[in-house]
Amino acid sequence: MTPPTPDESAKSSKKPLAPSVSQPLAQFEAAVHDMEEQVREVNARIDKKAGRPLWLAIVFGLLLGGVFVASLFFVEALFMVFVTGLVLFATLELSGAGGERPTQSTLAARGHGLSDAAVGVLFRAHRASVVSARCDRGGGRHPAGARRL
Amino acid sequence: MAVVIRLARAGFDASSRASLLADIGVAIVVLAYIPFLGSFALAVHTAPGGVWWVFTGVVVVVSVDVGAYVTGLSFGKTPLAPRISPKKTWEGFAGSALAAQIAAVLLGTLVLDLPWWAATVMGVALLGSATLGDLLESLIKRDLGIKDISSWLPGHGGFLDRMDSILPSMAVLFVLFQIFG
Repeated sequence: MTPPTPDESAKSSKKPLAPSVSQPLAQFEAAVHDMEEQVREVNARIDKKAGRPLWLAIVFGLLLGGVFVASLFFVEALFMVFVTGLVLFATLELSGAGGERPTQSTLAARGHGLSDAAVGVLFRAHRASVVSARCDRGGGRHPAGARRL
Repeated sequence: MAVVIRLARAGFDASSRASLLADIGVAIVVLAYIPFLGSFALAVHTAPGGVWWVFTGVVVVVSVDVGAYVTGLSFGKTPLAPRISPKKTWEGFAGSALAAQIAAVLLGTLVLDLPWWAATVMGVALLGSATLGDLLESLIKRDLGIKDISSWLPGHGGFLDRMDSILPSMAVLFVLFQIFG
């Protein structure tokens, strides 16, 4: 007779639960399963009504809002870059929407949007350096409005 | 200059001359709609005290969007503009008006230190511009025969879909800033 394998011995050592424990446990598992089903159904109904996955929209909406607030209040110079990026993406989306091959002018619009963005960022950086130089000349004292580049 | 050169080249090319006028229209609309309107946000932002104005303006517009979405999804029955956007409803508009007024009066009086009536004017003006911006984007999408502008922003209909109500509102905010700021 061959000795029992570790799996077989584990199975044989597992004692069946007493009915007083197994019945409430089964009821609890069934209730959890029902709740999961209900949540899944409600989510599917909301997504169907909304036309897109709502939780994904909320997550990315909050992310975008967080970047907006951070760039607006904490790293003010970055607001320029943030707005420029959004404008650039939106320009690319609109000029390429419809799935058609981009025409000469929509390509030109994209190029113009890109150059606008680059010029804007350079202008901002130039103003920052000018104000910084004024501060240096003024012995470290910020001239009026220097904080608001 | 690059635009002028490319358009001039297209004008001399017989094969593309037919669509030249439409091309020029598209290019002007794209440039006037997004970079031009977006630049108002930067114009307000660079003015003294403009940071809080931009913050308030964007929060009011987001309140319009969220108010319309939640109320429309829960109670929406009567279509607002069925030929442009069948899902937008008057109930949603009412919710957006309420959300806009609450946000505008709270932020206008507490953050921008405006009198209550000026904050109310701001709420009404931004409600109008945000709703019209939303409808304008729906009109463009309907004209192009697409549901979403792009799939670049997961869960949303693209970056323009998020900015459609903000863009015209920034021009309105600029005017309000000149008057009350």
